[in-house]
Amino acid sequence: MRLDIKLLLAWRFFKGPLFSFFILFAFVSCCIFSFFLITDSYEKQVEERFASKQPHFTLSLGGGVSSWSDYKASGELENLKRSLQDEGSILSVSEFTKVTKWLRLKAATAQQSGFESAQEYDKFSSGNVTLIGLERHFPSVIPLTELNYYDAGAYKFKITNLEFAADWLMNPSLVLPNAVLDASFFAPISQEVSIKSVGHGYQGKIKAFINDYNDESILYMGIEQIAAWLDDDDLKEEGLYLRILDSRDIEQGKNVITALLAKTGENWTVTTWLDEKSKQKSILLMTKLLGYSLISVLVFALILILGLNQANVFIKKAKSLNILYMTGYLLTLPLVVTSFFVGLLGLLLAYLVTFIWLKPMILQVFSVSTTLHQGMSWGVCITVLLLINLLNLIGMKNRLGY
Amino acid sequence: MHKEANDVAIKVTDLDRYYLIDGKQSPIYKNLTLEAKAGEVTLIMGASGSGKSSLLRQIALLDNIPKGDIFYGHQSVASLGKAKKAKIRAKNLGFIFQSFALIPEFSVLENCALPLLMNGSKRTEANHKAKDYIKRFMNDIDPDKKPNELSGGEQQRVAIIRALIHEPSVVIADEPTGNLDEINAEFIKSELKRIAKSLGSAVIIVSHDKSFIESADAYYQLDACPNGLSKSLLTRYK
Repeated sequence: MRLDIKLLLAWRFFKGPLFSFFILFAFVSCCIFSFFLITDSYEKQVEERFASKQPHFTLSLGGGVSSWSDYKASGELENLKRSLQDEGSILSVSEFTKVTKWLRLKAATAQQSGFESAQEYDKFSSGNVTLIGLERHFPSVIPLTELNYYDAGAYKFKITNLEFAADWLMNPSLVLPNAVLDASFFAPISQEVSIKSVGHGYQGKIKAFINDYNDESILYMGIEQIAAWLDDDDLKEEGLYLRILDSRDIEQGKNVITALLAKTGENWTVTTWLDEKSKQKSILLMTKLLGYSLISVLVFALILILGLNQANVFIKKAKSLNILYMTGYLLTLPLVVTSFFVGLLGLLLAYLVTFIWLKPMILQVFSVSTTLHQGMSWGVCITVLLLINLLNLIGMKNRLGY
Repeated sequence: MHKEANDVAIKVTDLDRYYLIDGKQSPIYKNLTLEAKAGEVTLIMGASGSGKSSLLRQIALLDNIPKGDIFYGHQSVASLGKAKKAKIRAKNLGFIFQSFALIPEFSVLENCALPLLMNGSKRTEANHKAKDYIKRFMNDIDPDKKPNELSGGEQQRVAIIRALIHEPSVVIADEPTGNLDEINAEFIKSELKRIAKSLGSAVIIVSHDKSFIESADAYYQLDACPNGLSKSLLTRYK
């Protein structure tokens, strides 16, 4: 008997269950692809956030924004900074401001920037934006040791240290040395600054353009504009950012800092880079566990539905199947082959849906622009497909006896 | 496969069949021996419960052969695997049943073409030959109709075409006239006889209808096997 006829007969009798299998398997595969895409992106984001970051602490005052302003105004902050700076394990002390704004960037940017090409800000309507503060200032020398960034994570602004930004010269002839690029978290940005800023005549106002490099959303603004913008805050956090010399000194440094802070009589919160990292790792682990459980449940449900569907057809079409068997047609193998083929089609559909439609969304959410490896997703999907068809084969052999 | 008249198309030797009662095997029949020749109608008669259908299923390679052997031509089939048995069924066997056993989802044409497809014909070739047979032997039946749109007699004629279209060496008919009126039954009997002669197939009919004896070239009587009795109760007449 010709193979195409064998497969055609299997398809003809099991059209319904095979179509259900196609839809369900495409759905489950889509979930598997999406799950691995999400965890992969998340993992990469965590890696990127912590890979090149120098070991540091952040200190914030328990009382919130007003008490921070009061503390700063009292002059105590300067004393504390000096005390901290005197510690041998601390490389630098700087203030940080972290502001979170939700879905307001487009309007705010357009209003404040006065940029001619409004459509260029479209990409800012969602996702992550890196904000770099710049101001004309002479002489054009950038002390490399003062290069400092604060990374607030996904969905938040990344803002340069304002102290440092004030020293950063916005100059058409500025060429940043490679050492700066290496030290920067956003190495390509600096290159873009030196090139794209040529010809802009907005000195002292918005020195801004959109950097398309690696699809990152980056906005360069004057310090004053940033300050005005940050005042219109949704969620503002201020504090001190302490870079330490060696990550191995974290514990020791924490003890020293805690002792110093205790003397101020204020309620300080000390967060280490490692705390944040382990928190992110825990969230990642939980996400993975949840995802694996969900996938297991889906696969189990898929097998159950497929089995029940097929049993239903075996019962309904028992007479026809018996006649086919008598005339020399062994259904088992053609049905398994057809089912495998249909599963592959479902897998392909899931892949297309996930990587055409979902991937850009996921990447934007996690601000990851690297190529994600998909080997694991394919491996799991193919394994599930093989497992289901193996169970299908065993079930059919038991049910039909051949 | 031999198709010369009077060649032995199928031979059964020392065949046993058991059923299980409380885990114990009880014989339905033991040491059965029979043969059917090409171009002849062989009738197996017996009362209900004598094991006719069980014997038929063994001959048709649908059930296992725990003891004894069956030869299709000179080929022993007892020890063959399911796939090889299926191939032999597809190539060498045609089935006619009391219940017609037509596939309800298929049209008349598709039912008739099925054995050809099973034997590796292309779809167009199979359909062409099936149409030709339908036109020659049952011109009054619409090939696009489904079996449930036909009368009993028409369904059985379709079943006969399906059983013979691939010119098998053995045609097995289980109570082929059981569901038919007298006129149709007579027609089917004469058709089976004619087909056996013209195609050179061995037609094995299992029935309890004694009217078949007249048209059969040979017939066997299968009697119920009393418990514990271990000898063949199949007797050849003619």
